[in-house]
Amino acid sequence: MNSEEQNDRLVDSLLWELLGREMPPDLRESILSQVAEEASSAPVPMVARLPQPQLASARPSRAPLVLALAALVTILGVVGALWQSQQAAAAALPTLATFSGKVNQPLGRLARGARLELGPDSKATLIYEDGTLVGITSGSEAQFGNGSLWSSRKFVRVLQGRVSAEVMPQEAGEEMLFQSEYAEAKVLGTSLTFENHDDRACLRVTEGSVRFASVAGGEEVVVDSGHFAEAGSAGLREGLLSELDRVGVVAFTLMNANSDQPLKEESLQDGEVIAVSALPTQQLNIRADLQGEGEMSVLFQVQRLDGEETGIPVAATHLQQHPPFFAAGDHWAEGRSEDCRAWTPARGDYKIRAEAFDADGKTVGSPLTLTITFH
Amino acid sequence: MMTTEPLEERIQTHQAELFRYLRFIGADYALAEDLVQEAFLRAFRAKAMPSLEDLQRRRAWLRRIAHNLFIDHCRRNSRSPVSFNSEQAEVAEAYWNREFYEHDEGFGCMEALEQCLQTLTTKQRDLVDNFYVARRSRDEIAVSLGISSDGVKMALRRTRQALGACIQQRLSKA
Repeated sequence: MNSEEQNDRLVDSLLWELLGREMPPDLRESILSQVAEEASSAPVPMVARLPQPQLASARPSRAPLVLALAALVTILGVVGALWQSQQAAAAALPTLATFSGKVNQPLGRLARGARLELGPDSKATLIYEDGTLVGITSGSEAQFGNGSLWSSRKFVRVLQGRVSAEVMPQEAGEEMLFQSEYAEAKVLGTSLTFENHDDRACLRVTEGSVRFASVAGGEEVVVDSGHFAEAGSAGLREGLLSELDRVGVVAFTLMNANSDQPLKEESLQDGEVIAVSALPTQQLNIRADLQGEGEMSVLFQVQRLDGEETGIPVAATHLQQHPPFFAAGDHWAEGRSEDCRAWTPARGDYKIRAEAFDADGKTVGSPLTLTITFH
Repeated sequence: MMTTEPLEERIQTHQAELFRYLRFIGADYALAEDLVQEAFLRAFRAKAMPSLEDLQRRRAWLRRIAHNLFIDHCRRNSRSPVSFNSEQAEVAEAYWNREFYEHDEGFGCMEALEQCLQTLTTKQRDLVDNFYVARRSRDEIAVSLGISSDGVKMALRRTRQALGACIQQRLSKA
């Protein structure tokens, strides 16, 4: 601890005592009773022991002794194995510590392979022996323990919904494992959320780092604090949590209006200059990319900074209610909503703004605005 | 081995300081409680112990037992709220003595903190009350204040820094 940390820790402990009422407890009685207990269980002096029986003068056979020793070794082996299995279970299986709402398991340690199912408006917290915490939210289902009697590795299979965890440091090779049909995350110690959706698994890491692997593709990435990774039918992707948590219009993509495919993987950046003549086509459009739950509609505003006409049909500037959403419009009226209308922008600077609305007409997230130049 | 009679006296004299010291080096409430008990049991089992008259040596001796127990606990559980080894323990002990205990066995710090809390802005005081009095989590506070959880963490840290500086200033004037 450096001086700043020491100061922080000292003030923190003082605040807990002064405001949090975490005063030092009076432990006299408890300590003295333990001391008394220790004193009473001290070894009995030799003189008080029972006299040792005298050995018979005739030399007995050693066979019963050998058999007894063999039996003892076997019993010790069985007891040791049972003890080891119990120890492993204690480390690998969590205790359902608290819950509210509808949960299918009673409070207490879960059995190996137990499934925990939560009803609507329910939540549960589980705790492992080392202090690792797992939280499960409503409508989720997860299975604990991997079936091995001897493994002390923590294992959570997320069958449905979302679990979050604060994982204490784990031994190398004994990483805590979160798994779903799409991905698995190996955790050495961190704070994370692991979600299982119908088409993908999503990992969010808020502290530490996690090794995340796609089950289908075998690709693997290390996801650091403040980042997320998703694996599913669309492959594996990763990025900043701030991007994942954004809702509404999150990006604009330059489209090839002939193929209705993006002209490049990356989103358009504010201030970007696009050389139209260098593109494979001049039949363009711009797609607004949305993130978030529920149906959304989008309103575009496209302006040329020199005040000239943009060449975009008026219909495209009305509220668009069917995805995908294109700044220069689409052929939805002709039954081809995915077919974006071709637009060849004149040279100049353009300001493009898109705002998303939910089914009740409320704005979702913040409107996204960027300025680009076509030349 | 000491008898129970002086032990009770020693518990009375040292338990609060040991508990606070363990909290300072990173033990949570329950662990500090356990380790204070264990430290006194170790003291009870010890063949030699600094005499009753030598208060400073006895304090240091008990504190050393307690922080060794804390280090053992961290190693055994492969987790440590703070990175803590013997060398750092000595540095922490020196800091503890200088900044806390020497000010009227810590009561000077407590009084200074009470006064310094009055100097916080309304926003800072709300934050501190939410966290330490109402025991709301950082995430809960973040939602109610409309900032990120990391923002709450930073704001709490800055507030503690300000309080620490204020405490030092008041103690230096005292």
